[in-house]
Parts: sequence; structure tokens; C-alpha cells
Amino acid sequence: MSESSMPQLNPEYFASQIFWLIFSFAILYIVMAKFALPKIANVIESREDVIARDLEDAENYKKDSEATELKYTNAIKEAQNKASETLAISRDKLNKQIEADKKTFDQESAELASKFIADLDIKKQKVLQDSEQIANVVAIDIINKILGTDALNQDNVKSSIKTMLKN
Amino acid sequence: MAAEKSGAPDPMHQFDIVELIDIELFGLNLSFTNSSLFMVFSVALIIFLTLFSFNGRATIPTRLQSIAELSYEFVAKMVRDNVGDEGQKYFPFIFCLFMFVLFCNMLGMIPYTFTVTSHIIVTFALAIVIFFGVTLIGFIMHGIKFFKFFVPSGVPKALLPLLVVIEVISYLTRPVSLSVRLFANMMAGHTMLKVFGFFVAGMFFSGNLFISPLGIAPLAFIVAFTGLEILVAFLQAYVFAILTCIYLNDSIHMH
Repeated sequence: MSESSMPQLNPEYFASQIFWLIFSFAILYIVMAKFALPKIANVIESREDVIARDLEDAENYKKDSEATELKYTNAIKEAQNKASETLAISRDKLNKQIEADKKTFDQESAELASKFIADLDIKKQKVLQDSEQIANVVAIDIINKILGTDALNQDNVKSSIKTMLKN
Repeated sequence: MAAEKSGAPDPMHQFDIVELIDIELFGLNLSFTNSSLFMVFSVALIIFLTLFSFNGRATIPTRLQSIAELSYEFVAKMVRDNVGDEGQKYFPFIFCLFMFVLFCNMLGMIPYTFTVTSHIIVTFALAIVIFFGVTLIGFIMHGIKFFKFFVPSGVPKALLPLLVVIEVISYLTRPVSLSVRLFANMMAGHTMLKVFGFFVAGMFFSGNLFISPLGIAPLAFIVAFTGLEILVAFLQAYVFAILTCIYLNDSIHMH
């Protein structure tokens, strides 16, 4: 040992080191190649499969949800359309109804008005006639009381009252 | 041991091989030493990490399983990027190589352990096996045409003999550079740490009131340098594995 300060250059244990290197490395190689590495490869591969499958599932779920959403929005749109349609129809119906009602009301009221006017005319006529007679009687009575005579020409009085009432 | 007797600290003492069990076979000393112990220990740790950390193939890995999977994918990517699909056959070997060197390097970072890869004979044995293996693969895949590997294309005819010589030499020195790089890095780092450790001890126990507190400086250096050494331990394992990939790629795809 004293001739070299580097134990690495001492050939005494070269054979031992090479032997144990080959021995341990051979065991390592056999265990790795036969058992460990295929196992690790298998685990990694199966995990990748699981991940790929999960991603595929997620993609499918996404598509499903998108389709459902589309369906849902379509349904809402349809419902809105239907609602506005119904609203328009009922509004039209109501408008028509209102118009028809208004028309009949106008007609009826016009009829009633003309009837009232006719009635009024008749009543007015009657009042006029009545007032003429009353005026005649009162005028004749007044003249009789004032003049004290029956010699009054009643027809003259009546015609003069008639002309007075007319004016 | 000689150093202890002389009283001077010896930073190389940590690389001494100590026999634990005497074994003699075919006239060779194949004793189970501290080096063998740490080789077997590394292998046991790698097997534990990759085989027994997997608990029922959970989709969500445990921490230990995550480490094993990350190592697997790290090396798999290295092989795929540097060698391509033809390299898949050699993936288990590259994986073992990387993990073995990495674990030997990392175990060596624990104080009082032995660093297997700090011995040139170990790294050279690995490198020479890689060298012959890669050359063999080259000849099996390309036959006699593999010699074309040493003839660069598109150079003047006059320069060709010189370049062929250079190519052959650079090819032959591959195992040397591969093994010396790893060995020298590990040995130098550990020696450096030891030397500064001696500084710390020497200064703290110098009995001099002025020098003793200054021992904190080499101590701080050791702390920082240990971090760097851990990086180097990983990096050298990575370099060892990736150079093997590159040599393999050269053999399979030529240039």
C-alpha cells in the first residue's frame, strides 16, 4: 500500500471489484428487465389509458350538456314565441270585441236618442197645444172679467194668441 | 492506515478497500469488501424503489412510486431522444446503468460510506463492456460496412488517411474518457471535501483562540460544496448514461 497513495491503483482488489460489479449488475439487470420495468411501463400505460378515457368521457359529457342547453334554449324560445302569438291573438280578439261592442252601443244610443228626440217633440207639441188652450181660456176669462161682457169674439182672441205664441 | 501512523491526515484513506468476508475462488481474491457491500446495497435500493414501491398499481402514485416513474420516464426519454425507436431494446440496460451509477454516487455522498464509482476499475469495467457491446452491435447491424464509420464523408482524399487515424483513435479512447470522467469527478470531489474537513478539524482544535473561530469558513465551504457534489453525482450519472446512448446511436445509425 505504501508504494501508492491512491488505493484505486492497487490491483489487489481489482478482481474482487469486477466480480462483484458483474454479480450485482447482473442481478439488477435481470430484476429490472424481467419484473420492475414491465411493471412500471404497465402502470404508466394503464394510467394514461384511464386519463384518456376520462378525457373522452368529459368530452362526451360536455357535448351532452351542450345539446341539452341547446334544447333548453330552443324550448324557451319556442315558449316565448307561442306566448307572444297567443298574446297577439287574444289582443286582436279583444280589440274586435271592443269595436263590436262600441258599434252596438253607438247604434243603441243613437236609436235611444232619436226616440227621445221624437218623444220630446211630441211632448213639446202637446205642451204648446196645452199652453195655447190655457192661454185662450185665461185670456177670455180676463177679458170677460175686465169688460164684463160675453160679446167677445172668441175666434179673434184665439187667432191672435196663436200668432203671439208662434213668435 | 499508514497515514494514521505517521500522524498526517490522508484524504485518500476514504478510498481504501476493506475486506469484510474473505472469498478465494480459482486462485483469485474475490473477497466481499466494502465496495461490494455498497454495490449490493445500491442494487437492493434500486430494486426496492422500482419493485416494492408499487402498491396495487394506484392511478395516483405514492411519493416513492412517483420517483420510480419519474426515473423510468427520464431514462425512457433519454433513450428515445438519443437513439430512437431501435434503442428500445437497450432501454433496460441504459436504465440499470443510470440507476446503478446514480445510486453509487449518491450513497457515496453520505458521510462514512464508500463510493463505488470512485474506483477506476469499476468505471472502466462498465465503460469497456459498453465499448465492446456498442461495437458488436455496430458490426451485427451493418456488417463490414461499419468500418465506414471511421471514414468521414466529404473530405479531400489527401486528408483521408489522417482523418481515419484520428477517428479510430477517438473511437478507441471512448472507454477511457468515459471511465476516467466519472472516476475522476467522484474522487476529486470526495478528496476535496475530506481536505476541507481536515481544515475544519485542524482549525477548531488548534488551541489558538484567534484561529479556532476561523474554522467556520472551511465549514461553510464544505456545506456549499456538498450541494455541488450532489449535483455532480447526478450529473455524472446522467452524462455516463447519455454518452452510452450516443455511442449506441452511432452504432445503430452510423453518423
